[in-house]
Amino acid sequence: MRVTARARRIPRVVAVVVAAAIAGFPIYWMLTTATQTPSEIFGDTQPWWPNLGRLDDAFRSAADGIPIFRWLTNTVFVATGTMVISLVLATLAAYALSRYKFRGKGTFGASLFATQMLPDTLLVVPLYATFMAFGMLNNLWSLVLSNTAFSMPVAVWILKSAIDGVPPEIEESARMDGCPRYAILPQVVLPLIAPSLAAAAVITFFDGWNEFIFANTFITDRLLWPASKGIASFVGQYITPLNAVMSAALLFAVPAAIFFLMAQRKIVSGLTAGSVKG
Amino acid sequence: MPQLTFEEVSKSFGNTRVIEGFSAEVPDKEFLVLLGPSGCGKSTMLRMIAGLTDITEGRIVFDGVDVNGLEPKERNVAFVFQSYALYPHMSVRGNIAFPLLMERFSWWKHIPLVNAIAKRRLLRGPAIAGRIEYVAEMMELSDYLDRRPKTLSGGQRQRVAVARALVRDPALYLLDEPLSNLDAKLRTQMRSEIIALYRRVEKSFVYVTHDQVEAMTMGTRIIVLNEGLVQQYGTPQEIYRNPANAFVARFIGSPAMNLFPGVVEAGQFRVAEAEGAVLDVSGEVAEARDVLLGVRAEKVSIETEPAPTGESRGPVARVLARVAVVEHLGADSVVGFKLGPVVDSTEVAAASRDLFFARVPGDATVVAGDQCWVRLDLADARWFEAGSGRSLRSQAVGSARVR
Amino acid sequence: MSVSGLTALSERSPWARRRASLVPYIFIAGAAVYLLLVMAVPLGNGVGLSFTETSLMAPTSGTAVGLQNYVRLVGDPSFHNTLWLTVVYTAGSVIGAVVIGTVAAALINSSFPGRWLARAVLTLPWAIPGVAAALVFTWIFNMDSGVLNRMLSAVGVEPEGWLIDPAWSMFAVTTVSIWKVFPFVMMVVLAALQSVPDEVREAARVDGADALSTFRSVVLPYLMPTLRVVTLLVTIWSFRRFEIIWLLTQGGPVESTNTVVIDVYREAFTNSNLGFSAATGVVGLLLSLVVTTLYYIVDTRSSAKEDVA
Repeated sequence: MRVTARARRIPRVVAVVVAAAIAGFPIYWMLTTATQTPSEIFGDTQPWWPNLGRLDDAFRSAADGIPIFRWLTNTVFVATGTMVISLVLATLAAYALSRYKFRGKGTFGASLFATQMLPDTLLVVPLYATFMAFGMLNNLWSLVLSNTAFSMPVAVWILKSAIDGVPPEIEESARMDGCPRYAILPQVVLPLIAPSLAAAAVITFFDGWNEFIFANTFITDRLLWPASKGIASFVGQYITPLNAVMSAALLFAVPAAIFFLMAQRKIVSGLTAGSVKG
Repeated sequence: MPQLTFEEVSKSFGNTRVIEGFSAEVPDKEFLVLLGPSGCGKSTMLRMIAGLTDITEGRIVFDGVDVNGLEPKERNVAFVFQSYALYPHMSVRGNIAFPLLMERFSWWKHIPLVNAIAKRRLLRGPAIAGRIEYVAEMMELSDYLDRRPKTLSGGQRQRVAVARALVRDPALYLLDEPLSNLDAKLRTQMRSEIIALYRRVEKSFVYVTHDQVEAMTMGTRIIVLNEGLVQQYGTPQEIYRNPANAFVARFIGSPAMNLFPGVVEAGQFRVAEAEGAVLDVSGEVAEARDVLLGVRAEKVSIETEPAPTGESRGPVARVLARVAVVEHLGADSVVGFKLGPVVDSTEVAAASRDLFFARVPGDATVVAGDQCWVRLDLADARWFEAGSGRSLRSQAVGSARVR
Repeated sequence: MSVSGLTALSERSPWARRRASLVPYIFIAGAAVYLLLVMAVPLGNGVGLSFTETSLMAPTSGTAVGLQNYVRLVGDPSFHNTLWLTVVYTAGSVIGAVVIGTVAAALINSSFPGRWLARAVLTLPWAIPGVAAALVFTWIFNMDSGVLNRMLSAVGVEPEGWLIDPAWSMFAVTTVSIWKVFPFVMMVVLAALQSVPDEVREAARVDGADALSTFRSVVLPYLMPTLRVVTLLVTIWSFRRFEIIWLLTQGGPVESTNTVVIDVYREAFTNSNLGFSAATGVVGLLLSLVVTTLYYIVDTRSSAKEDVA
């Protein structure tokens, strides 16, 4: 049966549309719910379409009833702290893993990988006890410190394979040119792995942005909540108008979505590099 | 400066010895070539001179100063890498300027933002800018100063690498197979450019290559290496005429020197598989048993009859042979042959490894499959011991007798 | 990648050489110490806690009880239930995400108008924070006003209490997890698909294979290493996944979605039983180590087979 090329494409396109619809529907629904009035929402007949004209209103009402901007500020603090510390530690560790042979290298690498297998909940209790002892509960730094432990190994993974891709001769050339050893990293290596640095930055930043368990456990002061905990506090409760809640959730979700979409290719290649053959 | 001295220098990686102890003295301002096949240790040796790899035993001395403890930049040497190792994120100007900037950078200037500011300021200064322009002009890069290495051709990149070395005005230039990534025509051109540079700066050069043509045409001294052992150290002429062993004999010269295997008995040398060639030998050759007779291709000529006509200025041998292949090069032809009579018209073409070669005038009319006689002019023949390959001394060889 | 020039240093004095060989340690010092303090030590504490009976109010003053917690665990039917639920949840999430992700990658792999848009939308579930996803799904699954039930009744299907009916809760939670994770599988597999050389595919076409059998006999073998890695990653992540289940069902109703990580958290912060919680966590960790080891054994064996092939 002769099928034209275009006709052969139709089932594929249909399948893609269906898949995209299912994938995208919840976010679409978030937007829809955010732009409708409570009466519209709870009636039996919630409209199917978002009322884009009300977008402006929606965000304002969100800000009114919900300290969303306060929460987002907290989130930004935690995310930035996680990112900065993770990147600094990870860059140095990745450089050593890539360029040097030393005793304990295998063990170190393996422990980095092992951290990705630990369930956070197992660590929550001891960390909780430790932070309590240091009086750091209800302090955003407790979140920064906990998050960094989990996101730094991922950054090391990404950065190590990036540094592997820089030919060692370039560093030797710099040495011959008189560049002191401690300066080789900033002068020569870092500029050459900039895209991977950016990807690692995005990953670690949003690791802190999205994180929930520690935020849920360590921070009790409502105004100190990061947005993840804040949004979560509305789950299942319908006292606060749902449209306000959804608007707040959108404000929380959209930056993460944008950056992840932009950095996705680099992130994926960084995460799977070296572990896939060929 | 500098006179380069190697004192019992050897190198091991862990338990593997990659360079056997060797000593040599290289006078100042020589173009020293480190020549050898892949994996022989020549690049390692170059890197030891540079200070990129440390020496296991022995010393390297520049002009009487032991450089073992010195960092590369303290040795006043410049290194041109095989892959050029240009900084991809800097322009050509940035690449060339880099050594000059590093000289002037204190530790805090390396911090990322400070780094950019300091760079810009220094690049505007007349001393540095002037020097960059001077070097760029010398290497014909003036039009490319603001381009990135990615946008340059192989030859241009190589020139940038050389320019980066030049700009430091070092006492010693080290080049690691700089031409091996270029196509043949460019290679010939760059060869003469590098020699021109050598003559212009009047400094010492150390040049690594596996190409014996490069070594012979460019070098003033050659160190031939194989598997970590120095085979011979001398001028190109010495190495060509007096190879220290069979390896050097075959490595230098194109086509490779013919080594005819044979046996010495009672002062007479008989070529294996050869009808006719029996030679009287003396000296160390007479004391050996399995030997190799080395005759260069240009000393071998092809004759279609065995007639010993014409004068011969020295000892000559004639051997029955069959032609396997003829390469017409224009002015000359290279004839590959095997010893012995034509066996079978369907004999499969032999690998060049198993052939002997003669260089004959371009208008020679031999054809593959022909039966012929080869005439070996033994005036400059060399003898080698078959097993170890070392050269054997002999007095003049007695004339051959055809059986 | 050789490190010859950089590991071997030009200084020859023994003092300088020793100092030089310390350099890599200086580089990893920060990360190593950090992990030691923030991971290894708490982990050790956690294991230590598992041998005690400790209350949340006084986390540092518990009483040592030896292996009591573990003994209790082993015999506890609700822990067996927890383990079973964990297996079901993990297997369901992994299989669902890997299959759907691979199919999605295959669908996206050719060009058609709007492809970039489709790809972006398909990536969205992974890109948005888990908390936001949980929030919106709670609303979607809402028994009375949720849009899912509305759509179902519009076509005549019985609406269900997705999150409040123990018969459906695991299904709901697993579905959300699959939804969240499949884009990652899709992206990884897509990258692998794009590295399949065209000639191989064309050769199959010339030999008369249609799309499906080409995929099965030609493309799938190429994908196997990638699929194995991605399966391992998704398995580990599923085992660790907390917020989706916690926010949707808190492990209920009636503990029908009580996976190990949920159980650990609940024991500690709801039942205030730190020792038991830690013991559960340790057992869970050991199980995930077993799974990972099994994975490596299978992986090395099948990749050895592939190398020979």
